[in-house]
Amino acid sequence: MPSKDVAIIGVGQSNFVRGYEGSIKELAFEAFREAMQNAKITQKDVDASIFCSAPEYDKQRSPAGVMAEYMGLIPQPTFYLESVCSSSSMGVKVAYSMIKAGLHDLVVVLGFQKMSEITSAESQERMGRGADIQWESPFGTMMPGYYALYAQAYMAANGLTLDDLMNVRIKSGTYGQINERAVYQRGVTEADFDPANEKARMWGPVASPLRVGDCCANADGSSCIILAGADRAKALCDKPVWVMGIGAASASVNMVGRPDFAKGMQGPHIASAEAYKMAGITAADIDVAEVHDCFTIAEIMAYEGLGFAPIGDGKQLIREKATYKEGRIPVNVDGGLLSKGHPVGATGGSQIRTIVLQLRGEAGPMQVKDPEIGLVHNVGGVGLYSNVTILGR
Amino acid sequence: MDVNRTVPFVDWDSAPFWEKLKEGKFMLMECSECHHVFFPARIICPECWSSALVWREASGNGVIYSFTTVEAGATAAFELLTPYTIALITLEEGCRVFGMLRHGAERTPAIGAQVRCDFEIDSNSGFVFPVFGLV
Repeated sequence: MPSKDVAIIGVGQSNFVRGYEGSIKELAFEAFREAMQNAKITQKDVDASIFCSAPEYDKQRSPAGVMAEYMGLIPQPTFYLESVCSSSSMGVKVAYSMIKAGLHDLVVVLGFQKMSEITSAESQERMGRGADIQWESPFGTMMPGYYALYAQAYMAANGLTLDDLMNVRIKSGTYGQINERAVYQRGVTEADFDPANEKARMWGPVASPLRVGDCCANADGSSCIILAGADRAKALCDKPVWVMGIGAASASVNMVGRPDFAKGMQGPHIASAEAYKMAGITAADIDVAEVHDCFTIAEIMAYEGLGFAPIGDGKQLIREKATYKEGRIPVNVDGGLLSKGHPVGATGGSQIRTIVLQLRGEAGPMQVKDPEIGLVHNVGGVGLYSNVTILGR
Repeated sequence: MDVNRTVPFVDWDSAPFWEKLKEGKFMLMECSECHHVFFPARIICPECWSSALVWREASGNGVIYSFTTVEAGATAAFELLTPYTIALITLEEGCRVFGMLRHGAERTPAIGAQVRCDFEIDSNSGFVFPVFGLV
């Protein structure tokens, strides 16, 4: 078994909402307070903090210092980290490294994003500059469009259908409606995808083949993960959740440099292989997983990138309901990004929180039966930054 | 079309590409030393790090690698162009490139379909953009 060196001792998350009216500092404090109370510690116990967000949404420049002061975490060192949608997973990786290196023994990772901080037009323009500004943005690329390019090529090669994608969204709705922190708490049915249904409009075209229902919900939110070295963790916490494996990979930002779209994204294959190796386990050992379903197609590709299904066969898992709570490998039983919402910088921490609650047996109505090992797959950009974190009790 | 379309950030390394488009030429780069042909442009060969690079005109023929028609959620700069189709094209020289794809309602694009590069001026900015059409 891998060494038990670093553990998660506290988790917190704000409600994921539309149009949060407070400041980013108040938004972040919600998750921070919950995680600190969860870990039963105070600010003087914290050795360092890492703040994570996608800066294109923030009005505040260099937010770490401002946030650290607000949380009462000065004069301890603070850091800012961004890898767009995977910022807080990467924050956990950096915290793990600091603790392993002996630099800091107890580290707070706080992810936040107020998507509504700036206007939608402003955010689209700024997000557009996260793509290749020289060679992509001038052609009208946009976020769903990128995943749509993958979906088109992947579906043609592997026989994945629009109904399969719809069924990913229906699964997400099943759990979104029992997650009181989710932005979208309504269940989703086939009728919502029926073009005759003017109310739900899940069928509305966005970027072919993706429809409104294939895209995740924007949200404002925050998440907080507290990590500590083994001795400290055991002293402070009776249910530490151990970081067993971490893997990461990067990819060409420009789609012209990507390998075969029909095989999905390459990053998660590399990141998960690294994480499995470090944890000394295989995909078959995972009891519950959170994957980055920013679009329905992304969840299917993630099944394969993580080794839950062979390449091209991800559709079988949704067809057989294997990724439902009672299935062989439950995935996104908190509603995922599709229903829970996707406040970019807070997303990875929220996924990790879900797995920690699952492993502690504290996931309430979403609880999977007695899981021992859980996995988080969190992707920044269009597969630009892939992060896989394996946790165990 | 009267649209404030997003224009490229033109740098020293990319300026010749955008200039040649005005002459109706889609340019790739070729390394004089290792003969690697690539896109987009760089000033050092990504394979052998040689600086002896030359511009080479592409035939303009290729096939669709993937495509998507954007109907909602475009950036403000492209909203008036909606719906529009963007595509990844594999040129016969072997490079994959990004471009807009023009097709009438009667002809739906498909992966593997043959396309040819045409050129379209954006009257607002004066930039010429490559536009692919089904052949």
